[in-house]
Amino acid sequence: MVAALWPEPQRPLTFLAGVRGPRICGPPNYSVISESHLSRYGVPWLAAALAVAVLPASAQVKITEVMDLRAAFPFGARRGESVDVLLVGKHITDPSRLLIEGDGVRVESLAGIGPTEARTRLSIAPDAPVGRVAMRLVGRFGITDPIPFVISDLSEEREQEPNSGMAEPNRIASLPRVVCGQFNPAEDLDRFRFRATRGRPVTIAVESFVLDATHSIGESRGRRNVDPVMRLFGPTGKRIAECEDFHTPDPLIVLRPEEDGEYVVELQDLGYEGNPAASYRLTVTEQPWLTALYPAGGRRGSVVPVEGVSASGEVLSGTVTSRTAGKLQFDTLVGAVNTRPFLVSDLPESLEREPNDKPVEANPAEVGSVFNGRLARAGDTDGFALTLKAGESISVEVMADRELHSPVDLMLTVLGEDGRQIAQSDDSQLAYGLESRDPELQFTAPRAGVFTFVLKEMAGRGGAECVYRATVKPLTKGFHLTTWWDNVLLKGPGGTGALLGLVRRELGFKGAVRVRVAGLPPGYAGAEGIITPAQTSVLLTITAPPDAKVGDVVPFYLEGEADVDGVRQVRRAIPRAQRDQDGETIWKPSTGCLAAVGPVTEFQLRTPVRKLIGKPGETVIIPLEIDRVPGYDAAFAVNAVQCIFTLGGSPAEFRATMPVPQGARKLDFRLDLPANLKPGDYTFAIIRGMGHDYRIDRPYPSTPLIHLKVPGADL
Amino acid sequence: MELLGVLLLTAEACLGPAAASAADPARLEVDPPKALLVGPLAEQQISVRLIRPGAGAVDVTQRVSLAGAQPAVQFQNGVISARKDGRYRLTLKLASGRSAITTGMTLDVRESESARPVSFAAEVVPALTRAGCNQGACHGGQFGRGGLKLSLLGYAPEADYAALVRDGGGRRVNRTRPEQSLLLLKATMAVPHAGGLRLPEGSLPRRILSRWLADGAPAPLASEPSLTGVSASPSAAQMARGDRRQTRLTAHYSDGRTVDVTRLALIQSGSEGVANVDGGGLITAAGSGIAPIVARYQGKVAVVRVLVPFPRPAVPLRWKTTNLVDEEIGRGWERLGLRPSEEATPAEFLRRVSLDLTGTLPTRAQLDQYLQDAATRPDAPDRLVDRLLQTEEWVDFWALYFGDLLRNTKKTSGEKGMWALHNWLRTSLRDGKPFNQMVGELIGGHGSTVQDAAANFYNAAATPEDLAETTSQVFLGIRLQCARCHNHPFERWTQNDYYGLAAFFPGVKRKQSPTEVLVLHTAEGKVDHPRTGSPVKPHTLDGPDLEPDAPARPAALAEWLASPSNPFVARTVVNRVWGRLMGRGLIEPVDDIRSSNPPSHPELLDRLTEEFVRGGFDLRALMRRIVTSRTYRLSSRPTRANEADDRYYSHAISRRLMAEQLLDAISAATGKAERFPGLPASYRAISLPDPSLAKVGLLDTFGRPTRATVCECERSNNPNLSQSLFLLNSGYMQNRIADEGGRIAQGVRAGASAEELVRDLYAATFTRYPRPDEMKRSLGFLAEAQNIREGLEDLLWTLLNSQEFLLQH
Repeated sequence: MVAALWPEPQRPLTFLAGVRGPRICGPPNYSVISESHLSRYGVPWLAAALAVAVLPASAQVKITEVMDLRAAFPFGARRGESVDVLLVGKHITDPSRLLIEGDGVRVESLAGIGPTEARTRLSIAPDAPVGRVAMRLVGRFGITDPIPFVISDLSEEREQEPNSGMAEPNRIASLPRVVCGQFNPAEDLDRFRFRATRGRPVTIAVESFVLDATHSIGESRGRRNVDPVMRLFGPTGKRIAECEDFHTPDPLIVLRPEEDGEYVVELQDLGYEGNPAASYRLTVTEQPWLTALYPAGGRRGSVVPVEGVSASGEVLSGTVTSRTAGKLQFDTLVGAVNTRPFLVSDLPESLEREPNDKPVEANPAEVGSVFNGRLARAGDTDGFALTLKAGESISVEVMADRELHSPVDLMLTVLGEDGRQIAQSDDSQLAYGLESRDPELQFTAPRAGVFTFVLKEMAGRGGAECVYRATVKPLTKGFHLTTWWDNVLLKGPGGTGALLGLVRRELGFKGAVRVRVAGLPPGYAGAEGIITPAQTSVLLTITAPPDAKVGDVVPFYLEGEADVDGVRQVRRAIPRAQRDQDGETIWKPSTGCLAAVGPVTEFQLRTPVRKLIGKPGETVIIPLEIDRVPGYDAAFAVNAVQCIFTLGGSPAEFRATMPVPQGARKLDFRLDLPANLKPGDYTFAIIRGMGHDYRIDRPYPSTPLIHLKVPGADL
Repeated sequence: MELLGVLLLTAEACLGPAAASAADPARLEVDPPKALLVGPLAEQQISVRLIRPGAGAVDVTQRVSLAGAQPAVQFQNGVISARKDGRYRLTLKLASGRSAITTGMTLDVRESESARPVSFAAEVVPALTRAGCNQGACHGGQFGRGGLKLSLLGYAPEADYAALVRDGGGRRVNRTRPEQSLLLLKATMAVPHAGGLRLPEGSLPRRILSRWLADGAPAPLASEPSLTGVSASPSAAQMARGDRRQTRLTAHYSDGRTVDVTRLALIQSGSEGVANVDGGGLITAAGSGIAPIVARYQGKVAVVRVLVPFPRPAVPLRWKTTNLVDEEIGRGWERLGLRPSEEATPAEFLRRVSLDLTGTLPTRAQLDQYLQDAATRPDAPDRLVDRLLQTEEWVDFWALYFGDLLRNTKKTSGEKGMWALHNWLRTSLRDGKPFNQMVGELIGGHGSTVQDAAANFYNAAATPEDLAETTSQVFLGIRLQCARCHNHPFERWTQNDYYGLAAFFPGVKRKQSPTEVLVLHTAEGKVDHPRTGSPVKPHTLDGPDLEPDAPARPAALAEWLASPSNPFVARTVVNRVWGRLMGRGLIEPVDDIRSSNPPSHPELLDRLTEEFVRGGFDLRALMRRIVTSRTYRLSSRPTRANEADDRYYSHAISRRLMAEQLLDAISAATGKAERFPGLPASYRAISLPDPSLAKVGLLDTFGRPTRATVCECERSNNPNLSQSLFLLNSGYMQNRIADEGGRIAQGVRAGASAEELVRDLYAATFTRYPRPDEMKRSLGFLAEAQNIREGLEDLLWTLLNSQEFLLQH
């Protein structure tokens, strides 16, 4: 049982009480529908808690790890049904709560099985919206990044092993049907048989990559996305089709049967890898399977007429209601079996009009609007024209590959009135620090006039599903904020966790930015830090109140403020969630930031110091208290961490590291301020780190943020 | 008369008994019958043969003399020169005791006393080439020698002139006292010269160089007629062992002029064991076979094909042919005097064709089935071939072959790209896609390397130069690499040709994004000629130019490659497939096609190529044509008469199993399948898409390529000591033989008799059953073993280490 492994010898009864009544609150744009509290396991919990007291103390101590939820199996369910779901991840020991971001899904139970698996039972409301919800797990090591969970209106079943042999495929009794499967273990091959009728097309679609399934558990050879390969065999056993990728690494085949009969679909992972997290959904349907909605978004509150493009060639018509700005919805149309992403903004929207291939034909557009288009045929190019004043700055952000999974790699080119190229963008790295194939550029008009923005596909691809949205906004001097990740672990009641805020300065703004943690419920202390002009990030901390309960989850956000040419500018940070894709870390915008109170697994760091004054060349002493859990005597190092990223590769203004001897409970941390330290305000915290490694990708204990003032002229 | 008599006898000895007829007197034949000498240094090599009707011809060039006084005309060793203009009627005489046979020829001489300066490009450079000054080992090397750098074999006359006359402060040429020019002093060893004596007294190159220096070392002319080609006379010759034959080489110029350049050309034999040649073009037949005598002159090549029959066979060739392969091969045997071995047994044929087409040893059940078929149906071999060509193993095996050529690896293409290209190869082969279409798709491939898997072709080679070399060697069978730095020394391809091919590729870009790799064909980029610095227009070999910035350069190249009229692609793949199936290409090495490396059976290659093109570039049909021939079915056991033949297919050519074939064969024979980590159990060595996916010591020991190059030579089938030790002693072999789940253990557990188990082992290794003597010996051996299982393991070890198992025969 979970509780047996959570050492809280000081307050076992409080712990039990805590799990009965977790407190959740948050701002209006964040909703947590349900969580699992363990109260239903009260009696067994008590027994387990008592067991804690008699377990050897050394057995209770766990090294800090990063919690990682990778997949659910099945990866979805039918509304109106209850389903047992296996959650697969890393270090998801002792999950206390499963958070659902979305409507219509209730967690009936949650139980940890081991460090890589947990089991939950979900109940899907009959009127739950078809689409996706997101799930996060809360546990000993914090909160995981979210994973998707699909809500459909189709009959769903699970694969039954063994189904690898040609003579033993699972039978799909009727269509449409969803089969949830796994590539597990390695070299797994899954086969499914269904009946098709001559003249009635059948779409066979796999979703795995788009659900972020990866091979990253246990003995897997590398953190790689699941990459399914599909083969289709006809009634005579002859292979009739094969697909590796269809717009994304997930395959899709449209079967147009020339004869009635039994067909077999075979699935494998490209590299024959397999593990419990390698989940997929296989949909076999005669109904349309949407590959795009066009337009691919709309203005909040509007009812948008859309065209649904399907894999089998049918075109559906319908409307989508744009619900919440800034969100990615998943919508469907009547007749279709799946949903497609739909982006909602708060800006006016326009639709391209062909022909607009040549600059003279470019569609007029406005700054502060969204231009929707698609490259409808191979070789198509689309242009829209903006009339700008001299020196007017705008940002143009194109969404196609990101979120929409549109099968295009776009290049954005800006032409002047003379047709000459002025600017160009291919792959953007600006948005959230996320590298993608979509272009984005910031453009300042060199003179007044009409500028044509041309979108072209790198390989000349085109088709009805090649949709995109180009958001044009005025660019103002100032800054933008993002978070390094969207969740923080606070180690124990009164404990402190650290996170990073990242700033991007624009149009020549060079000043300092004050960033604070906001939106916390009463009792939680969010620090306010300073990103100096020489830096692009800042360390911030959140401290839980002494009476916080282990298992509490609270929302927060980061807010930045700066003086931009005498005008106060305030911005809220865009939260980012981290995912792995083919061995690389990628970032995606998330719905909001969360802090969770976890148990103390090693120690807590405390200091009474909140403010300091120091001069360049001086040494300041910060007394530390190391509140170790019983049995944890290890030596370790602590570091003064100011920030991680700086401009131009220059080092942080100061840094220091000191060893904490074995068993030590107090330490006077010496911080030598550099002789050339510029006057101004600085913020830093002292964190347990890995030697001189200042990364804080693990939720190590931290002191609250400390403010250092270096007297002299302000920065 | 005595001499004539001797000559007659000699002729008879070479050419077989024939009655000399007094009605058909012997005569001399001179080639050329008319000659024109222009200029003071001109000379003409002639060839004189004594024709004896019914007794063949004998070369007597070295033995004829000039009859009558001709003070202005010199004649020595078959070379004529003249000092005075005029028309001369020459009489050539072959003396024999008191009689002689004569013939006449006409010689015109012009400008013999002319002050016309020696042409640097047309005369001096060839002289330097003939003298060896500009070969790669000397001044023609990459860095030259002794401070003097010349272009390799004289492909850049302007640069050579500058080097000789201007570089080094002009110290090599003495215009005041030309005979004291350092250039001359060194080459004649008047002063120490590391390169030795290059210009012997009286040699033509020396005379040319001396004259040029005396003329004041004039520079190359702005416009001179260009060399359009060279021709050899004769272009083919059938000789008997010991025979000699004078050949002569003629240069043809764009102004219609022809010049004898025999004593300025570089002439060498492509097969010295069959025929060799001296510097004057005199060929001597030394052995039996076909030898190309290759003459190179200023980048042009001419070939004399010399055929020397094997010792005359006693029996006529009885060779019923229904297949064009057999027709042409048989014709070759007739010319060469070869006779084929007998046909292979049905079991031998089964084993051979299974390994050749599918890389797989037949199972025992397949052996039994085929033996039964072969005993009752005359078309059993054809039916077997048809079945094998439709198997997945055929697809796997030939995907392996083409994967090697395309260098498909995870390292170059990423995992997705590697699998995509591998699956594309398999699908293309399985579906019978025409080979020219495959080539067109590979070169024209663009876009996502997953959606357009053929675009992965562009992963293995990054630069336009690499792509040119790869395209040329893989699809055209031409090793163009030499022409990167200089004109090709052995072939007509120039640097212009090399960079013209490279110029199709500078616009190829690769773009990597998180989920895909895009190959883009843009109009950007150009390739500059390394010597001139000017952009080179894309042009195919022997083809017209395109504009440098034409947008669809790879597409244009793809169209040319895929065209049925392309002179290289079909021929190359036909030769490759032939080489793979028959053990040796009609042109060998199979990817080194050049005029100085002619095919052993040019008519056969032409006919196969024509049929392949006409049949739609169908690989299965091509293979079927070859393996259903009688030639293919010949035994590998040579006869005494043909045991020296290693290239005319009078018997099958034995060769060692390929690494992958061997691993799978050992797995099948021992009953212990190899498991490749990360791949399903169904994967065998021949199905591996990428060598790096399976690090198995056996495969590397037995020469599996790593796909680092496109050369077929990267796969080594040469034996070495490591291989022997591996098979004899390795734990790998011991474990497989003795495995509890293996063939022997299972057979013993099942209670099979010793005789049955021996039959099983023979069938699994040799694809045949033991002969009575073999069975007797085996049973005797087993009877003496400690236990039957150990005995069988020892027997299997013996079989696996035998040549009959290890060789494809």
